[in-house]
Amino acid sequence: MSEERMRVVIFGAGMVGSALGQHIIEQGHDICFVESNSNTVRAIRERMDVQIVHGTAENTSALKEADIESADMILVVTNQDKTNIILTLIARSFNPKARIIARIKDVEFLDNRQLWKTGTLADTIIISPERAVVETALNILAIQQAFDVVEFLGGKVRIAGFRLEEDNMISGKRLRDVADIFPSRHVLMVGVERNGEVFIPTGESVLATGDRVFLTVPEGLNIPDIMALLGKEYRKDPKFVILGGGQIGMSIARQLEKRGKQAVVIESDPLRCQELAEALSSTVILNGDVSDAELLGRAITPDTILLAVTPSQELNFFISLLARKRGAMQVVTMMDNGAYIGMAPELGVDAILSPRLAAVGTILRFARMGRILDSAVLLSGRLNLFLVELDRGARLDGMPLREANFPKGLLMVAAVQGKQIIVPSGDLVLRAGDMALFVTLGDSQSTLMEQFITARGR
Amino acid sequence: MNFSLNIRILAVVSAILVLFKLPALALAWHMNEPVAPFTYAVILCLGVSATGFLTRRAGLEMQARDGVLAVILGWAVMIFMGALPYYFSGQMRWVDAVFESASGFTTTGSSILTDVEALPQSLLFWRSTTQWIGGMGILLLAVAILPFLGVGGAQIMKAEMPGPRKDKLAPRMAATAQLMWGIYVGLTVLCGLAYYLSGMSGLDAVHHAFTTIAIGGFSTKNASLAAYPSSVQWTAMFFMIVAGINFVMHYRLIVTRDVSVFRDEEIVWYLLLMLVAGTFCTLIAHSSTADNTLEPALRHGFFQAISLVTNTGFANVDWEVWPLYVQLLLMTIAIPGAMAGSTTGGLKMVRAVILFKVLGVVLNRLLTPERVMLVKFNGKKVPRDILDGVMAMAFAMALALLGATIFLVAVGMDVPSAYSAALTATINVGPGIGWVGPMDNFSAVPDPGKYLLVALMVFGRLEVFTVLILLLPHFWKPERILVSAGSPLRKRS
Repeated sequence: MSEERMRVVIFGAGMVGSALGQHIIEQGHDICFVESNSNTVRAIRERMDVQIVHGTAENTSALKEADIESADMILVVTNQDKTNIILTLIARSFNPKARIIARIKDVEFLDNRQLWKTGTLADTIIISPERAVVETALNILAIQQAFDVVEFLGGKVRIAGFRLEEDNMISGKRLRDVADIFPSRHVLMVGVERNGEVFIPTGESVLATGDRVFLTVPEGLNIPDIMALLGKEYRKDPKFVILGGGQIGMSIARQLEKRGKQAVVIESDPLRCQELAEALSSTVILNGDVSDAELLGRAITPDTILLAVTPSQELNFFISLLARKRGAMQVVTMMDNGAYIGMAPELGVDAILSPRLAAVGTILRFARMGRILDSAVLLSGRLNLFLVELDRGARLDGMPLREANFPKGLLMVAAVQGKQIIVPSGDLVLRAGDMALFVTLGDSQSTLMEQFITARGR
Repeated sequence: MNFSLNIRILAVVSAILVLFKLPALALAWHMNEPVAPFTYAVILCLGVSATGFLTRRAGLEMQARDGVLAVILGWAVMIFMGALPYYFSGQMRWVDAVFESASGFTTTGSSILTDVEALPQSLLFWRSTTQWIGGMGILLLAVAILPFLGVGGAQIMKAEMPGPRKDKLAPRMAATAQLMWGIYVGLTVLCGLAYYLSGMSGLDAVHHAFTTIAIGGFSTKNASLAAYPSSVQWTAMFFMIVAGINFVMHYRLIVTRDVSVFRDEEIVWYLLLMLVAGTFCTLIAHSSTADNTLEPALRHGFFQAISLVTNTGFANVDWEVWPLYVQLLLMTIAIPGAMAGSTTGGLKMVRAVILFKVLGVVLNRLLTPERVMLVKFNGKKVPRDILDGVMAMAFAMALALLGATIFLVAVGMDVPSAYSAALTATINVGPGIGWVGPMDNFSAVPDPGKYLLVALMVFGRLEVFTVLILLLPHFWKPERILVSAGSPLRKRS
């Protein structure tokens, strides 16, 4: 590992920066934070074993101290767009080779392709929390009643989380015994969360109602079969209701239109309604207050997929609770407050859109290092997915999987040979150059994975 | 108001007419037909043009209001001067001459002639020429005047159509008009060649090219296009469709190779209406005794549908033998007409589509009062003032239609004939039903009716508002009500 140890400089140690830092440290790399707020600096010093420089963008001595010239990767994730743009320009001029990822919220800036696709910013990866959140929402909506979905290999492999409902067909049984009733051998259970505890199930694991399980959902799978298995009702033509016609609500509605689905957007500002009506075509725009009981009654029915994306996270939370109670088919809620996100699943609100977490997730995907080709986080990082390539002479190279003896907390979810995606079985033999998708319990487990895929692991 | 400039413009119009009368004069001389009708008319026209010298010092400063007046007077002078050859030939009474002339210049295509073929060739040539001139006038109207009247929204929209070229056709009005005329002349030449190659005589090909591209509908035969082989009829169908397409789109397609014009909402509805109506008429034709095989049924069905949707008014079958409800249906599909920016008459397809969308929005709003809906065309919001203009225009046309029908019934026509005559004049189609059917003519309409129809033709041709705005007392004295400089009618054109 040591040769692969990288130096990462992170500008901004706020919620996004520290979350990113945590993941990167656990992958065994070195971090240097640059932060202007002295309270944040103190908090990070107490919590994490990292280098932290107290300073601002104007402060060249701070930049020298952070040694950005020698950084392999620079993440620019302060709260301010302007600061981020300036920092990106400075960082690029100090270090032309590093991978730079910047977070920019302003949509207009993002749409100005000329600015960041050419010239100095050309090689910079720009991440927009809003875009990331819209993408997350669409992934979730693509699989009914999932509360979280991540994609790999351009959507060929998806991992989706579901809550086990009352009438499911698998709780109380050992997984080994229920394997046959799975609609296809291609569905694999990759993780379970029960009362705040997370584990990777084995054949001996027994599931219970209320567990939140993560399954692989391969391309072309019949979704209704999965729904029946989990005790959920599949509806062919759900009603999409979007509360809040802000930037995110509008983007989601537009993407739904592109997929041939008609959504209803409820927005309280009449002027914004006009703008929405102009920008969208088949979407139905209602001008009304979401706290209007009569309107809400019409909006929430058993075939409703509700997206609460108003600017007020308390309102979103509240309406989502109400919608759950009234039997909406699925509720997706936008909130950014860490405390809310923590308690929401307990109250049954588990499909959460958080611009900040979505930004973290997206940045991590771009911030992949070493032999990790792609990665994603589930349950705020308690489950991690890594797509890796097998080295020549690695332990797995030429060995049937049953002899590999994966430790607890590490599971191969899918393998890719050539263009073919394979569900791993005991007889599967992988060769160097093949790709494998692993799920690990917590980040530190990624080092475990290394022994199987690198030549030195032997 | 700049009256001397207006007079000057009339002098110019007059002089242009002289120019266009010369070919007919030459033809009369060449074919040993009486030249007197044309020489008299030319002399009179030249007399009027001479007033141009008196107004040489007229300021060139012109307001849109002057433009409106010039258009109306221009059309009146054209109709008056155009009627002279008919009148001097001794073949027509004055009222008939005016009717025939108005029908020509407004590209309507109604006729009072019981026997077209009996007219001298030179007079027939003048008759076709009037429609062709009318077509040019309409294009100029679309460029120069309509944009100021609010309903010209259709034209404004075209300029803003999504696509790689968002700018206008050409930066200046005169240049735009020249481009449109260029396309107009080009299409006419192509159409004439196609007619000639598909079996028309050279002279007839010129005649019909003039009246097809102008969407007029005058023919040199009593039986209209039915007098020609089927190849000619198919050619006519193709060029009627082409002539009904917005000229801006022709420009885009030919010059800039911009295929996105086919995604335009208006063209889609235009083609769709012809397809549906044509299929229906084919079924009707097929069930009639004469056309029980496929080719004639298709040819007759689609010809009628295309001729009426584009408002041309040619016929290749006597569709009065079809059931009366089908005839009424045919008259109805003519109301939307072809596309704005062509020489078609009627409401124009874009306005018809907008009216239906307004209806949809109103109904949906009744169902869900909170719903925010906009009337959009080609994905863009139609501004409020254009919506108002379109609705007011449709209302004015409906009123005119109703009033004229009542008037024509009062002077002795039966209801279907009166209704169809009023309709066909207002939307500049040509044939009606009953007395004025496709194989009949307007000679039996009582004289007061003929004058009314002349007025209706001009009213419809000038897109309603150009005529109605003259009725506003303040049109003549806008200073009295402090019409702001921002009003479209105060803008310098």
